[in-house]
Amino acid sequence: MGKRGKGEEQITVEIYKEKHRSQVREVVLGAAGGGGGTRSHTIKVGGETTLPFLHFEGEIPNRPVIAMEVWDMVPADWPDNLKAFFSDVYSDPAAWAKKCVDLYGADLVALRFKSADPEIRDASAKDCTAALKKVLAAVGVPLIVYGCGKGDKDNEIMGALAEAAEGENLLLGVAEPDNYKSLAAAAMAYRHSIIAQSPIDINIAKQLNILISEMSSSLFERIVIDPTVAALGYGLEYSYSIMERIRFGALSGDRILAMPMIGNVGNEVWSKKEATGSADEYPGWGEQPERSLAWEAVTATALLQAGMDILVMRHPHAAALVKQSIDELMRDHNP
Amino acid sequence: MGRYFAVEGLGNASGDAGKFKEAVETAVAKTAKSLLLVSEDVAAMAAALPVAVARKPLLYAATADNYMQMTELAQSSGCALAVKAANLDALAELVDKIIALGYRELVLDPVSPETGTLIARMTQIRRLAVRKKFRTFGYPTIAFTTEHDEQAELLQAATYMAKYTSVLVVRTTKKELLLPLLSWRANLFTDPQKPVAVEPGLYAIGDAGPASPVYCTTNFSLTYFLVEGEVEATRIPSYIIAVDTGGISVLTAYADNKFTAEKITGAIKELNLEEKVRHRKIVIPGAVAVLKGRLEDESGWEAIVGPREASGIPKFARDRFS
Amino acid sequence: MFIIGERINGMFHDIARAIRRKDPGPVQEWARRQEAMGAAYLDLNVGPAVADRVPAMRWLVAVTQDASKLPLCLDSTDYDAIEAGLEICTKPAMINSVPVVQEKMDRIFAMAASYSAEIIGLTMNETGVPRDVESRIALAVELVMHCDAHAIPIDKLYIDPLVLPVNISQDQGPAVLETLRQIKLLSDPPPKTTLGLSNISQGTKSRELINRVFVVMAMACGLDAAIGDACDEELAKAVAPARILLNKDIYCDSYVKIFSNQGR
Repeated sequence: MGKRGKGEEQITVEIYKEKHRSQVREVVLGAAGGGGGTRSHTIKVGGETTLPFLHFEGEIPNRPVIAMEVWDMVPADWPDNLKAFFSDVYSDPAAWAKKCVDLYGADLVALRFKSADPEIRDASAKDCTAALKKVLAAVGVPLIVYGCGKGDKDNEIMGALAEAAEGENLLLGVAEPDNYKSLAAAAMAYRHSIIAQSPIDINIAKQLNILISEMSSSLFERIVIDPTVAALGYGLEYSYSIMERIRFGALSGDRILAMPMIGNVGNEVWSKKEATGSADEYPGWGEQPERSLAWEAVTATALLQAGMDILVMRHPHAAALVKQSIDELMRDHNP
Repeated sequence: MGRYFAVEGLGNASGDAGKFKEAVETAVAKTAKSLLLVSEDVAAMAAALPVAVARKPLLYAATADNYMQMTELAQSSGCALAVKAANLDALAELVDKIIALGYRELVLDPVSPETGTLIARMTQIRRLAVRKKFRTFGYPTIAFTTEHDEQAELLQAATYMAKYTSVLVVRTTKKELLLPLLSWRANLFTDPQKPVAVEPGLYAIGDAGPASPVYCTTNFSLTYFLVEGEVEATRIPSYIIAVDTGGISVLTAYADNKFTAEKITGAIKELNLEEKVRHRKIVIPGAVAVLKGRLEDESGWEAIVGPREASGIPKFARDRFS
Repeated sequence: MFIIGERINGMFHDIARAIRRKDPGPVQEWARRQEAMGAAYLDLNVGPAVADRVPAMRWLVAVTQDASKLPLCLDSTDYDAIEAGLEICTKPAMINSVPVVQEKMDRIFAMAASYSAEIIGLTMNETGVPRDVESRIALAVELVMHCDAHAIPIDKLYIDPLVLPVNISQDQGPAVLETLRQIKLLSDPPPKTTLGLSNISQGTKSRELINRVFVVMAMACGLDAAIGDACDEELAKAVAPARILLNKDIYCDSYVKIFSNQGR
């Protein structure tokens, strides 16, 4: 608050700092040799005691990280400007992952077992574990592992994947309110972390965390919340405000919501016409290649300001841009 | 695309006053937008202001060195005045001095070349104004991007927008970069607690024609856009009817008697659907399968029960229409 | 609203005996049990029967801290005993309590400032507890002013408007509720408020029911803390939905269960 000293013009603005009572829980991703895994290093997320990037009022011990998405099959629907980056590695998820890490600087790899979808290829648990092992061998970064998105099939393959990577502390996704037990059991048994996904609903986010904590208090310490993100232009404001509420809750002492958050940015953005539609179809919108990467990068940028800790992205240039923006925001700025 | 068009001065040398005036003249002639006149040179500003004064341009900017004359210019023309200082202390001091001169139509620029510093300052300005009722900072804000690369500039601008910048000055003119920025603005300034409606009516997805499938849903924007996105993903040209439910979702509208067989039948008639498509089949949301019988009786159309969730549409369409 | 567990008090025979025999067992047992039931602070009172309160309080603090990570609320009219306790508290504690009596306030506020302690201030003075809202508020104002004078953040002050048993002073219930409401208007940010909850039901039938209903009414008037029976499960069950209804906690289906795990 501004105060005028006696008899002088000098004004000192008194910086307003919120007193947050609490802290986001720090979650470690991956396990290196000492921790029972084979990762070259682990990555910590969370731990902040203030809102995003407000270094003047709290600690932000860990920077937000970017995971790049790798599929176990050729993605049919990706537009050419995205596909082009991976055309040489599509048939080999291990090479794809390695390219993301070595060439594009991904902090993490998010491996999606799309081919397990019964309507796509119905790949078996055995096929999936073979692919997972290859990826684990190819890259040293911690992994996020997603199923195909079909609950019953995922329950089949995720247990096998968790077992095959025992001790690697994968981040396994996703537990949902009506289907969390088998994934949580797999994470508990084989020492992994877990993504708890709720449908843009803070009450359900909280309830799901309680349900998981009832299965295992130690797994509760390894939950990452996926609040479900919407793409820019498709209800992003809903995700943004739910995430802000989750983070305010965490900082004001609601330990059940004090988890880092993860967002499936690429998955949301790349199905939208703003990312895929050509300039011929939408003449007022500019060129598709740059528009699409901007769409992904702006969605990610917005989510960062709402407290996102892990961004799962697709376009290497969008990821690089966002990473550069995080670099800048993580420097210790004062007002 | 934005609301302002910025005319930047060319420097402070007195010889440039004429050039700045020329630039403002060009801008006035070529755009109907509001103008932002950017020059700290009082003489240049004084020379150019009469050209644009009818537009009530935002004058940028008063500084510690020129604030007396700039305030005078703003006051006499009734234009808003941007106030610029290198840190918050200096900004507060300068604002108070201008207020003491009797002018309050101000916009604050807490300049910093660094994104992180700027959002820290913007956060302070907004918090102090709102939480501490610190009137000195109770004004809108303005920020100029500093990143040179256009894509990096976009992310900087998106960050500024999230953190309380009222007037954002960007350099890029590329549509593909402005579109996401403006979409972000639309999202950010939409209250998620208020249901947002799309215009009720008939929407053609792709090159829809007489044989295209017809889906119906409510005009709650979130529902509609989900359905639209999924229908697009089917890559089958289709029609969607957004029935006017006052902008509420399918089940809520059904429970509230706003999404009824009569309503849907009314929409089919009003929208002249019988002339637009040859067939007489309409897909209704799976959640309101119960409407099927009555809708068929009312409209004479065959009601096909679609999936409960929009995400089921692509598979549904593959099985049904391809 | 959080509960300051009242059970470690020399008025209870098991605690009095434990203090006399220097047997940490019962003290630590109650510390753990109250923490498990969701208490946010543990009130420590050596009771009336102890000859030298200073060593008794120090012992009580030490053994309690060994068993629980909760912050403590040091409860005594003997300020030497409180100071002895504060010296060894490992986290900022609460002082229970100080009336509006000049020399007492001088000592307690100075003590609170040097130990970063919170203070429970009572709306009473030498002449006792006022019956009406206005006089209680006048005393609350004095407490706020003292806080300011000692540069203690105002949210470290918990004002207790003093409840009296409902069977004796039935008119005091509404007066206390109105006082709670008005205390919140005294400053920005406002002081915190607390009550010795069990007092309301002294000598009545169905004491727990009265406590439970009154605490919810008081919460709606801005009550921040209550010294009470942390092990009364029904009390916790009433507080949990009240917190949800007052928008203090984010709703989830298991709200009752998690309140008892969350404390403050």
